[in-house]
Amino acid sequence: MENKEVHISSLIVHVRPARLDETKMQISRLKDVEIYGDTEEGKIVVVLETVRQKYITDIIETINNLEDVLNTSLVYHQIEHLDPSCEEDL
Amino acid sequence: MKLTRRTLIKANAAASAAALAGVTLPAAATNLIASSEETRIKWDKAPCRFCGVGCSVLVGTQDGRVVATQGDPDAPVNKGINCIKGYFLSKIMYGNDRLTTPLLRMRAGKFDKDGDFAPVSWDQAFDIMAEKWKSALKAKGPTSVGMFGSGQWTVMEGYAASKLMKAGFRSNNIDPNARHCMASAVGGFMRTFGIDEPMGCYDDFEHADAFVLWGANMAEMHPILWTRLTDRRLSYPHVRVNVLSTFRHRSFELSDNDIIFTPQTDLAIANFIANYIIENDAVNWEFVNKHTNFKRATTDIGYGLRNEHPLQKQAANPNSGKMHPMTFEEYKASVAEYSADKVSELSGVSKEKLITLAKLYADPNTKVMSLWTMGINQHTRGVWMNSLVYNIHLLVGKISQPGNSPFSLTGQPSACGTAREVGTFSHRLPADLVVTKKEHRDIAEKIWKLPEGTIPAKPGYHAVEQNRRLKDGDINAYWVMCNNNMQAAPNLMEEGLPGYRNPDNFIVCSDPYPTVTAQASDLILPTAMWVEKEGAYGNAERRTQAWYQQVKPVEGAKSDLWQLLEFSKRFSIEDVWPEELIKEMPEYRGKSVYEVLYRNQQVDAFPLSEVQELNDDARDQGFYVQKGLFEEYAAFGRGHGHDLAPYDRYHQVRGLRWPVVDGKETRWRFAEGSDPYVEKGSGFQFYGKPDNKANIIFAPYEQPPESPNEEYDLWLCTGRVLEHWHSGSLTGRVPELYRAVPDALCYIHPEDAIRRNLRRGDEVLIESIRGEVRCRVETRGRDRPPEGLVFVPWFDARVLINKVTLDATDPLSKQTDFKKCAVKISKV
Repeated sequence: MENKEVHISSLIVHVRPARLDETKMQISRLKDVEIYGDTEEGKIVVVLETVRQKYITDIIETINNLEDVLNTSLVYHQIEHLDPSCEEDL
Repeated sequence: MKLTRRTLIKANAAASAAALAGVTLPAAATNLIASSEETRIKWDKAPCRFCGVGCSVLVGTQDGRVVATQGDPDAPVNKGINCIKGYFLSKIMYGNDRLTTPLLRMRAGKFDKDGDFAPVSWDQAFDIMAEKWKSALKAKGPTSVGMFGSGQWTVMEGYAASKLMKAGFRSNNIDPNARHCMASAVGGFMRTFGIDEPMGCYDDFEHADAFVLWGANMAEMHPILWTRLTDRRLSYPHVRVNVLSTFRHRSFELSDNDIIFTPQTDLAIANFIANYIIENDAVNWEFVNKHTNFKRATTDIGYGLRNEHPLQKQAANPNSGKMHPMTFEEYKASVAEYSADKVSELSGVSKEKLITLAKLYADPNTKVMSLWTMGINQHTRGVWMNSLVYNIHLLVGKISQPGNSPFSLTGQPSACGTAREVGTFSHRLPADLVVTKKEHRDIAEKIWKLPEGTIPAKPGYHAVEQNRRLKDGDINAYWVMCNNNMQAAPNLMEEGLPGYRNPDNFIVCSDPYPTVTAQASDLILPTAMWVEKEGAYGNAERRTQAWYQQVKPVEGAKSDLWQLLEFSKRFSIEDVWPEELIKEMPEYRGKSVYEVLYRNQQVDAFPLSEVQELNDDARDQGFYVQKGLFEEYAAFGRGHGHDLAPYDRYHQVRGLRWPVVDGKETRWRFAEGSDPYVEKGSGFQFYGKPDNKANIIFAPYEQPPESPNEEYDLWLCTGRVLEHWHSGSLTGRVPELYRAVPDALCYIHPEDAIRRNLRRGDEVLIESIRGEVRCRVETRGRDRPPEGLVFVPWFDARVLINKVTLDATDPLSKQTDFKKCAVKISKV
């Protein structure tokens, strides 16, 4: 198994609070995206894992274009070369 | 739960975001963090390399490379978050075409203006540069050399460059690219308050009841501040957001009052609001009587074009900044003609919307934050327009208090810290001093330990004038550093390019990448950038931030500071000063410019023992050069309202807002209890003016220099997009950002497209009387112009929209108006 570059990153997506559940549903359907939590004020914590050829910006743009999304803030970004040993238990 | 490195990194990423959003994560996820073996990555802070917001990022390095970035949770500016550009900072230094050697145009082994670029050593590069500078100085004197610098220079680099030009070469021909972005803001501050930079700060975002965006698209250009504004709007339902612009953009998504106005009529709208305040008896008389004077601007001042241009000849008072005192009654009469009816007709904005806006300012119980950048600054009446916004705030006393804040945003990371505070403009010296005043030159010469008369009294050529003077052959040796002005400056085909390619001129460009400017030059110097060196930036809220070098530069690249200092070693003081000046200080005889300017027991006062392990610039010079330059510079402002903290302190904190007095930063200037310079019992004190009063300056609506006509029937407005910063020379090298927005598009109204038989995606020719470019049209995207106007961003080197733009400037600030010229569009 060869090394592959992955990008792991996190976002806070700010949505209209009244439309939180619907927007969460829409986000959770996207590929390479996981929701880790949310708040009543309409903030959703989203983690992305993408390989080099798949670009983070496409996902962000998709999320930004959802009707009730007001803002996407980016928090963390790491480029990682995961070799097979990384898949082993720590 | 299976614990893998992958889940660990993801949990870490999630935890960082959750902490900021106020989300509680399941225990299983947070427990992971404690067991993290994050020690593999070394983390240190640095301000972001891009815009003027001045976010702090945590930079993760591993094996000498930047591999990760994270919003800095301890930073008051961005509170742990990043925008998409800041997010990809880790990649800006590693573009495939990073320059690693000086390149000189050569033929047959020698410099030839028509030759091809070939690698040379740094020694050869400085040899030919010094030869060209010396011959220009000898033939025509100091005005024949010039430098174009940057609001992206570190504070120390800007200071070293300014000193080299003004004291070393005795030429005031140094100007920063901040001339294109902040000069009108500076002009407005100096005329209204007598001291530069905003009185308020970013804390105002959490206190305001209403926000007014005057021609700014903060959602794309200042995204982190937009996040703070969004938070305020959504958490407090009474808060209102007003967006004024000449076209619809992303900031309208949060807007409660959408105002699309005809270009240039912002002047009339601002005067209407002042008129409304007076007519509705909303003037804060106590404040106005105690703290303001009324003035009238000289009108019909031209458009900053070449003197022989017909519009310049027509003007009654070209370039006049003279102000005349007036009474309140005269002021009232002057704004009276700006009625709702008249301004509605002129601007195309409904009366209801205008009144809704005016009421927010007039209501004593609504705290208003006005925000602007290029819409107001890049304006042939930009200085006037800045003051017109201050007028509104001063009439109602809504200033220098939390949430009551006229706030001039900036575009570059150190437009304030370097370009403005250090004074790298052709007419300025550090701490708001100017070259035209003898007492100011005396102060600079004393601090710099130079003979009286070293600094010339006449302002040098400003940005646009430099290109004109290159074309005319008046400047012959020219150094462009840390910016991409061939792409950025207006009227490229008629002024910029002919100037650089003029056979009489030798052009040097320092940059990390082969930009359009580099390719138009004769010598390219490869430059170390951002965390490849130690430095400091100053952001829009007066916050000075410093960072340490965190990685070695890419092999072959050297910092701007190193380049400036090494070049200064090539000149003896006899090469650059006349005998009568040397006679005043004979101890400098036989010394190099480097020794006189930078080995003066001040710049070289701090030893290597204070330096971090990694600091190439200091080790190359043998002393702590960044600290020495910073401390010498800080001497200009301490005790004069521009106080900076001791340099070392900036490495311990996430920046401090000047004036920093007794270790404490200042959040609201001019307000008693917040600003240490304000005397007890005065309430407010605008101490930039001798009588402690701010000026309310009337200026009328005047027409723009160029408007659409029968043939050139559309307004062209240029600007930026979220994903790219300025000319795209850095963001274009990040694959994710490049791919997100690869090409500049021409945003056009669907009806305008139909009329020209255009469909979305068609290639078109955009022409003005000056030049033409090709690009594709977009009728749906994020920007939605009204009929009669198109918007084209300028980041794309393949769509050089400045071939089309007009080089008209504000006659007072000399800043170009990139927002208004006339074009026609046809299908290719």
